[in-house]
Amino acid sequence: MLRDDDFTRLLEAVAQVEDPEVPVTLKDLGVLQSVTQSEQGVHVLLRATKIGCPGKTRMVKDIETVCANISAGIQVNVEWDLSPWKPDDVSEMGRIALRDFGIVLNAPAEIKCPYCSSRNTEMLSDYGGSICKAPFRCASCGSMFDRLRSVENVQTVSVVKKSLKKVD
Amino acid sequence: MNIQAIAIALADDLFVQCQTLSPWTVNYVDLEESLAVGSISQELLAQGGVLYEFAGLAYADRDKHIFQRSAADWHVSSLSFVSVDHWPDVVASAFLTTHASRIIVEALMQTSESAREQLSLVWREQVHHLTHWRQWISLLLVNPEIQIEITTAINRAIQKSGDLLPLGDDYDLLHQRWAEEVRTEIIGLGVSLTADLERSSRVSGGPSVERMIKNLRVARDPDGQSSYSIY
Repeated sequence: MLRDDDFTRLLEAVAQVEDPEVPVTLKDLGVLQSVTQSEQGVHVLLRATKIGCPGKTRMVKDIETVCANISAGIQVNVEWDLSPWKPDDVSEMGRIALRDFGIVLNAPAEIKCPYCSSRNTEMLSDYGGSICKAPFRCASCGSMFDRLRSVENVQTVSVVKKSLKKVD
Repeated sequence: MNIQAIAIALADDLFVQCQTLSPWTVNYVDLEESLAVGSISQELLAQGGVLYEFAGLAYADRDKHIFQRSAADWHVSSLSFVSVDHWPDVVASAFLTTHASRIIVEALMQTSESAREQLSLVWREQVHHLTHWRQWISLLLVNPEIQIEITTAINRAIQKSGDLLPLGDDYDLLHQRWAEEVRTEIIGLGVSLTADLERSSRVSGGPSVERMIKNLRVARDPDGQSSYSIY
């Protein structure tokens, strides 16, 4: 097992590991749930925003790397918690970092444009450029932004609003 | 109830559905749908992964299961092989397969508290996917000309859906429930149901499986033990 001061350094280092896509730490994003140690090594519990998140492997590698930098050869066991990730898991600092990156977390009724704070926004689709996001447009400033999707708070846009015609 | 066999059979179906649906990401329907198909495919792959893990297949075992099994050892439902050229067929088969997947996951979740915890996210995503495909059926029904196509596609898919819930005692009640729910919902959506919801046995291998296996891309770990980690 690591000495207390080394384990404290490791905790600090793991807390600085960022999401592979968005410049926000996994801790602030609510993905990093806990870090503990035992005779078997360091145990890290993570909760992905989506089970299909393609950044999961990268997150594990980054955590293993920072742990190895603190104590070379240390055994690191990373486990994924399959409980639903929730927007409430994100810290205030995480919310600010996400907003600055054009991503909001709010419940559908409370969505505000991250650029001009207008509530005059429209959800464009259920699914966005990545599986954890849904695209929005601000009717006031015209900006496009994303909302981080959660299975706890699914909002759907009816595709029926589209109109189709047959093309031969 | 053979929980492991049921979970692996569903995981296989989801894996194949991901492989055959994902090309629609670049087969233009509209931009939003392209993004949706990409996300749904990705989620199907992840759901398959969760089910393999639930069934006790570790990474190395999963690797062998996917990449080293001969075509004859795959027993996939017919509808898992999504149409490559007709969007109403895609919508119809995705609607039916997602209905079946959700019902199977619900049955697995009822086997233990641990199963409920492990599979609740899969179930929630399936419900969301089902909403998406249901909305597409409604959309295609709006236009009189396309209405004929989606009605035909649904009845064509139903004729191929007999092996969606495999034959066997474990699936009897599930098939009954699936058939009742699908029939009620399809008629409720205003579709004329002319095909019968009858069961049939799954075929082993076949050209579709061989083509899918041939198209699989392998990215291996430096140690060569697993095909899943590419970083």
